[in-house]
Amino acid sequence: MLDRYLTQISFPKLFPEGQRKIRSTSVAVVGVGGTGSHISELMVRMGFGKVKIVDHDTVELSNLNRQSLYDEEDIGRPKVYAAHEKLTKINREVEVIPVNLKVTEENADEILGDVNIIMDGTDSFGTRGVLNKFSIEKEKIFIFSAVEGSSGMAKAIIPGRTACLECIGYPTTGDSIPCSVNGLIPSVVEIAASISVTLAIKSILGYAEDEIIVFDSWDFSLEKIKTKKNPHCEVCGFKA
Amino acid sequence: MKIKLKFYARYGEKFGKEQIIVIENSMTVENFLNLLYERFPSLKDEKNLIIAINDSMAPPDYVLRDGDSVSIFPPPGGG
Repeated sequence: MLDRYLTQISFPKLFPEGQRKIRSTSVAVVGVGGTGSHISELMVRMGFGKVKIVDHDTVELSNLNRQSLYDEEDIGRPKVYAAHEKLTKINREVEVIPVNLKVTEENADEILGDVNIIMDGTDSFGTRGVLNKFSIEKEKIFIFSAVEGSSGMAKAIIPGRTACLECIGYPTTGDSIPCSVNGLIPSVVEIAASISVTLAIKSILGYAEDEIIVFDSWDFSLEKIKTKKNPHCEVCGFKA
Repeated sequence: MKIKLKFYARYGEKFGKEQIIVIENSMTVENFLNLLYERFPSLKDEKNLIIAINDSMAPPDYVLRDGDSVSIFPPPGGG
């Protein structure tokens, strides 16, 4: 069984307990479009115990340049069912659960209540706001990531320990500008996904820092900005 | 005082990636932003700027010092 994971368990930070922790961690990937499809594929390959994939969208032709789990025969199908089909062929040791719904404040607990980590694959400020608030209230790790153009950001949000989206001033209501307007180079999607998965692993192993990772796949830059929990934050601040 | 101003992502294309802004007296981040709105009027149309000072987030009342670096990011929304 461990033969499959030989290269990752040989990585010093994952040896010897890391794979056991990965195996016992359940995640929900909210949004299985660009970043979400790469995130869910990587987490299934790495052997996370349960990977719940959540999306209410269907596959379109314009998705195929960057959404790795879909091909031409999937056009018109609900993303979560097409993704489920591909993911279960990769690693039968992982429980992959498709959820064909949009996450809202009303259904967040029902969809996300049983996972340890919420992975951000959304393209909506409002949905990120819901996930941020839910993760703080229910004390679940939330790995935020977002992309635009050739650049992106990612952050591990660990309730009680790190700044949340509200602390850093990230918008948490409304819709974002579609990537068809500002453009999106596919390579940045994979970078965002890779960093997100690494942040998830670092979070469960106790290595995550309170910082935003900012990257650009055109300039080949990556910077880390230190953040701090705001004690007066409306979402995660101290409440008397 | 010299402040290194860095615009990231699409802001870099719009306002220039890196420049030095000379200010006569120290000022807060908030006041510095108001100064930038005068220099770059269309910056006022941008919402939810994410601002870092040197390598950290800083509150609006942080007082800038000579040599500080102010980095401004648009909030990316895609996934």
